[in-house]
Amino acid sequence: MDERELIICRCEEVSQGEIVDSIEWGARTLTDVKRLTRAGKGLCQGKTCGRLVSQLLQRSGKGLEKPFPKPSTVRPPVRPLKVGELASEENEDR
Amino acid sequence: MIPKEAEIVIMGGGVIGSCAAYFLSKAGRKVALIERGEVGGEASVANGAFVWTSTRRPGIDLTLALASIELHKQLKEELDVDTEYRRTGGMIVIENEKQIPKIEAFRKEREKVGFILTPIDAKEARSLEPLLSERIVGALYNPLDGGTNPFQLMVALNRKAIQLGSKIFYHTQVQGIQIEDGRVKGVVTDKGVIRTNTVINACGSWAPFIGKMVGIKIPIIPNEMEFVVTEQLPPMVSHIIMGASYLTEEYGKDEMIANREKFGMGLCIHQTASGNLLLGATWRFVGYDKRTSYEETVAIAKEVARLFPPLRQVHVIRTFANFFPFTHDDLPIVSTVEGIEGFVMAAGHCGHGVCLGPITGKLVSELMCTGRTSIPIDELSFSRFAER
Repeated sequence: MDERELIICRCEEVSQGEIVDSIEWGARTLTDVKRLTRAGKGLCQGKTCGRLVSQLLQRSGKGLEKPFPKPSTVRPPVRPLKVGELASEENEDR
Repeated sequence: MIPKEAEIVIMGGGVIGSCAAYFLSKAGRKVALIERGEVGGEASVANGAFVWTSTRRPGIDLTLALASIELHKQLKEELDVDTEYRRTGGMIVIENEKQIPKIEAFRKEREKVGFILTPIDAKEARSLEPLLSERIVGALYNPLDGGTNPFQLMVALNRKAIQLGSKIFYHTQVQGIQIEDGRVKGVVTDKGVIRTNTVINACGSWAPFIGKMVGIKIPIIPNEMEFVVTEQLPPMVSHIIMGASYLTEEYGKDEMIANREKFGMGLCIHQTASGNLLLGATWRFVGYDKRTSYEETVAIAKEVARLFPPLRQVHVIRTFANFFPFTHDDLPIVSTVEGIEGFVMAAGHCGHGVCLGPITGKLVSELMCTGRTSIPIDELSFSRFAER
């Protein structure tokens, strides 16, 4: 199988080829790759693909942060939460 | 590699800088665009992605917005990457009878200048947006409103500018501006010095830092705005939605500037082309701290749950915040600066940068190429803030 066809970000269905191309175009950080390809923008917010993208960036030798690229910014919630759960009245006491 | 010289250096690679780079490149100028951070910049990729005219004030504000939405349409056609600009129509949702007098006054003020927001009743509003609460009392509808994908817009603009001979440098920080005899002579960056006679300050909320380098005080304050993002969903909110409370509530900006804890809240909803819902927004003044807060996330969730009850079932996957460059008269600064030849301002769009980016880029290009602009921009001058 062609390595370029490997799916790196399952949530957004981003292939290794797309990530390599984004680095070729000028991506130098995980956030660059995320913005250009959507890798890490899905349900799991890069929990799985973050490491893989990081490795691809390392392997390219083009990463801005060396030797280890910084993870892209982590924001709440840690896992998906329903709007209704966040809005519920019980939530006010917690 | 950073060039040794450039005709024009644009500082700030957000939507304003990218639009300016594009229009200048199209006019035959060779530009070097410098962005401190990632492709896309800061607030330009962290907002509701509205291309919205309904809330604009009659006068220069509305004139700019109406001109800019035409350019959004044109850019979608002339650029090689789809900007995802769509005129979905916009709705200001009126929640209760108490809001009606203020909303009516708001509507009439616009009607006077021929800008029509059409009042629709609750039944019609719900036929347009079936997930709306049964408790709403009506809405104002405007077919001109819509949304875009600001990141795709910037990528499209940047690619075209590069094709036209300009150069773009991300992860490159401006450290100083060289001035001799009141004239710009160069830009010092962490990657080297670029000799140039002309710089454009398109740094949004960070524009004052550039101002400091040349000894001017730029009255722009970062105004933090928080949004939440949901999972991707099938089409379920087809218009750009804003809650009337955004227009009817008084928050008192000076009080908010003095109190970091106080935040404002106005519902806005945009389902993007990818299917994610952007739900917002809260705003407050917290310096340059862009962490999101639990209180604001909950406030947004409550507002959404109240006005769109079925959306209680959708999952929030992320929260984000960034800074809208706030100015005291709610207008951007687009002008030259007296006393510093070759220094141009294009910042302070007060949360409307995505909408106003294209017209700003066009006006900056006209200003620099011909000295005249197709829309008079005296009201956007830097000198309006000069201390008297």
